[in-house]
Amino acid sequence: MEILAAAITFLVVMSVIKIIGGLIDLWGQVELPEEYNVKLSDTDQEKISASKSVIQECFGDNVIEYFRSANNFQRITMTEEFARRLAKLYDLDVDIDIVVDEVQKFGVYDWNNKKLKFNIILLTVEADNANFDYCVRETIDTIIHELRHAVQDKAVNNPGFWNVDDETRKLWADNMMPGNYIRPEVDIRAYSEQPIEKDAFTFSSMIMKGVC
Amino acid sequence: MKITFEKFRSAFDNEDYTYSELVHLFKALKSMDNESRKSFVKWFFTGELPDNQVEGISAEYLINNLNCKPLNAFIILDWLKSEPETAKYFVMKLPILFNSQENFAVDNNNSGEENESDFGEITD
Repeated sequence: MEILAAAITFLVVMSVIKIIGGLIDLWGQVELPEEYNVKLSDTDQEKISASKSVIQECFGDNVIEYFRSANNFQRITMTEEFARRLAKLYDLDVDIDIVVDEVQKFGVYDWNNKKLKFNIILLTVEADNANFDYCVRETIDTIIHELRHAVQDKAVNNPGFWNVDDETRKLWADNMMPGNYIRPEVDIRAYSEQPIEKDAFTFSSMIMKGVC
Repeated sequence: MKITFEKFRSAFDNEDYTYSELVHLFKALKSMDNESRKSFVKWFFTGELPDNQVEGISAEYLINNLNCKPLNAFIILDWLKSEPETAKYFVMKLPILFNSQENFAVDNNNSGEENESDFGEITD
């Protein structure tokens, strides 16, 4: 049964990558437009710069080539190290789990239990896969994005954390209230516009800019 | 043709939407441009998806290849017309987003305080 599950997971991953490959062929690699971004604070900018340093420490100057030349064990180990170093940089007290798991969940932040779980199955594709870059980019981006949610969570509950102003804390807290959060499968446009997601996408895209 | 909220809610009540999500969706679909709204109303009553493409993709593509629910597909196509670059970014994120999770509490599915008769209608 485990072999069957692994085979199904592999097929689903390859199917996802193939579909994304089709969109990349159609549109090229799409960056988040500047006009989408929210204004980030000086503290945010410092953390963005420091995050880029962590990326370089973990993966060197060329992130794609690092992963391309690494075996699966190295990819998993260093990705775990990357997530833990970022969590430390962000002053987060969260549990982090890196798994290579069923494809249903790529990134999960459990707000109630302060747990992060990252499924890095995308990193197990072959290095010569045409969309290998996408797999690396999305894995790294997801880790940063979910850690930013953990920062938002801590800021809402701890005034002064990351110097987040009270107006922003309130916006985030309201967004997190039962019934206020819009799921991407319901309305992806409204999902992207809500405060905690707009902030997290802005933050991760600023870090990823020029990285890979 | 017109779609009242009552009709809309009744059509999607058994799907994976909370009451507040249905209210949100009704308003979002109502605020789409004329062409998008017309296509949605036609689909609502006939089941026929629009065959036009926006930025090279269609409603059928979004539903069959990216696992979009139909209502989301209409919203995406409308969005691709008005803000193509932002919309494209998030369309490419869909496989990741649909497979990630934020476990906020959903609402308690009560009707809330809004007056449904104020929601108006979605017309073609």
